[in-house]
Amino acid sequence: MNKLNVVISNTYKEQIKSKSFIIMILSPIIIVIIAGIIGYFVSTSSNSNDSSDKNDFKIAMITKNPELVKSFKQKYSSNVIKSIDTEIKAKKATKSGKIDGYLNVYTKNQQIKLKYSGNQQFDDELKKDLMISINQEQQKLNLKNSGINNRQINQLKIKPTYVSDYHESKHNQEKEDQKDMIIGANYIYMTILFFLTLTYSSIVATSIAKDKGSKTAEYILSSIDAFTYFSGKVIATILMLLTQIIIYIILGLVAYRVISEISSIGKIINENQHMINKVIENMFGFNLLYFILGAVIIILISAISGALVGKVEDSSKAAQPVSIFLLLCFYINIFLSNNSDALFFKIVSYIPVISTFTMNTRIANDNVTLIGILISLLISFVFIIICLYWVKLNYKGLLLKNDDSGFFKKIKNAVNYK
Amino acid sequence: MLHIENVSKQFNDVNALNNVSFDVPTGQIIGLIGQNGAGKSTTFHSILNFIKYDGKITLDNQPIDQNKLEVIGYLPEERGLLTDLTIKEQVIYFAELKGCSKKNILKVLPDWMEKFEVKGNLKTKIKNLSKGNQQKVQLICTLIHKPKFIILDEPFSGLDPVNADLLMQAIFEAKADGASIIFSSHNMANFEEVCDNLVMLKNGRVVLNGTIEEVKGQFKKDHIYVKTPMDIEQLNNLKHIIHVSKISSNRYLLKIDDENAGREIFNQISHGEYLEEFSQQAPSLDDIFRREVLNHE
Repeated sequence: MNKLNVVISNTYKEQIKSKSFIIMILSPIIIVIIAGIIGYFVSTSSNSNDSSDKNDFKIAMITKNPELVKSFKQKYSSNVIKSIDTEIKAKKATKSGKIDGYLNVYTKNQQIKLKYSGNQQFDDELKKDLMISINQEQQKLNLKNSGINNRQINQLKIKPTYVSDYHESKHNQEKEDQKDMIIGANYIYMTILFFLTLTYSSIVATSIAKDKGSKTAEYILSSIDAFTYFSGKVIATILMLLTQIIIYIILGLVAYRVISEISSIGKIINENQHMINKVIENMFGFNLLYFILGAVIIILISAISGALVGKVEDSSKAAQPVSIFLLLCFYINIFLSNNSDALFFKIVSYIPVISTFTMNTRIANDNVTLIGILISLLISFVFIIICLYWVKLNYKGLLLKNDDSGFFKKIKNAVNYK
Repeated sequence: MLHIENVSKQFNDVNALNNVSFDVPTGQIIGLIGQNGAGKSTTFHSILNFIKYDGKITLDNQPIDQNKLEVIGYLPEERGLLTDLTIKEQVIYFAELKGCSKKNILKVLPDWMEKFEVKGNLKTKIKNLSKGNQQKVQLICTLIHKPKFIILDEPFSGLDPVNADLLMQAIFEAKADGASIIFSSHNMANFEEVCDNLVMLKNGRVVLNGTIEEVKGQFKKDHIYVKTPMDIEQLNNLKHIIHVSKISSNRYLLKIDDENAGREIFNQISHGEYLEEFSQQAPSLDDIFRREVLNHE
């Protein structure tokens, strides 16, 4: 077997079989399932609580107005106990706990008055509905008592009207909606990119740090050159990343099919199909290119960082410098994305790795030209070439030189070890 | 055959190697001896192209490139294995890097494990092995691809006498198969037992080079091992005696100022009577090592 393939297959198999990789693949799925189940139970229980609270509220209505009795008792049949129609009966029933209270509705000085007595506060929702109906009844009573004729009544019914001559085109609205969706999708995309690169940065750095720390690197270099070893580690890590993405795409498609079958969600999906397609289409454009270049650069830098660790017990710290840098890129994008046409944001969108986060936001906000995008991509590509060239010259020194000096001193010592 | 010619290497202001030249003939075992920092590991790193050097190193008259690495077996001084792998996975990984096929390795690996008496099976994880057994697995990784040229950097360090014997046996077997071997050690006894040739480095320079006999022949036979009822004071008073060390009860090591005075000293001690032991020798490798280190300081 080709020696590059030996390193790739060994690294890939070792990582893919590890418990941490399986946990890493399954944990987001498990979290989504658990969150879904919790969400479902919370929403059903709050719905049932809301409706049961309202239904559980029982009152009696004492009134001499037959129209009110008719309308309320019909509308709120589950709340108003029809059989209790006198204050004495109502008081008894309240005391015995049969009902929560009673509402005395009467008219005094041409004004409808409501007086509630009970063991429990009047249900807010029921009160709101009740007051709307009472207002209407009071309106009728006012008109009746005012002694005005029909013509005057109609005159009083005249209301101002508002007419707008703005007719939003369907096309513009769709475009705005799509932009919002793309910006939203971009945030999700950036978050996924951040976590994926963070994870694989740690995987490749730790794997190399273990080889160096456990002193196997010297044995390996007696069989292959450092660049082949480096390439094998990087390619294996990229393959693992692809494996995870493929697993999630397959699971995503299955979930999409299953969810589409659920009529209520399926309806929402159908209504927004065009927009969903646009968002997916956007993800496979420049975003994908930036994703690939960003992930490759991060994995390359992490593989360099991993070779700076001297002891196997420090291997978990191997990716720390890269993790801090990634965090910085992520937060620059999050905090400054609202002002994506600012000069600082424009400048950083040409710096490799940061461009992966920031240029996507500029594309989503439609404030970068095609030339700008191509220049940024070219810079990232050239950066990869320079990185590889540097590795070709210096990686052997990084793997063989062991010292406890600081980050930059270690690089200097390794570069001088020739 | 490995040929090293005028190899020099400088790290900043330090001359790690200074015109080092020696050969490792096919089928021979060469011992590389020297204090810490003498340049032994730098010599090995130069052979393996880990570092750039001035001079010339060839294996079978060809420079050592990536393809040549396949015929070299290397046991580094600082040894390590990937502890999460099983013995089988570890050996196969390293052997495949040397160009061997998995199928062939699987055929011979059980025999190697038996030969080195490794306690564990193919599926045993490295981390579950004792330190001694991990060292044996490392040796298997170094030798299993039947290298033509073997570099062993301090192979005996950390091995108990039984395992050291197993290693020696493996070195002799490799030699019998036609491999050339170079190894470093701090234990002079290992050199006496194993080496055909000895190269001593001091501050990056070759100060001794030859067979054990040739090296010892460069020194006077000024050591006498003797068993006598005389005490240290009596021995010290004898003519030509420079120093007396008591080795065990009635057994002494005498250092003399003239190697031709042996018969005279024998007569002084024996008085014509029977002596259980009287042996005039060149200094041991240990003594030569100490002497050379002091001489060049």
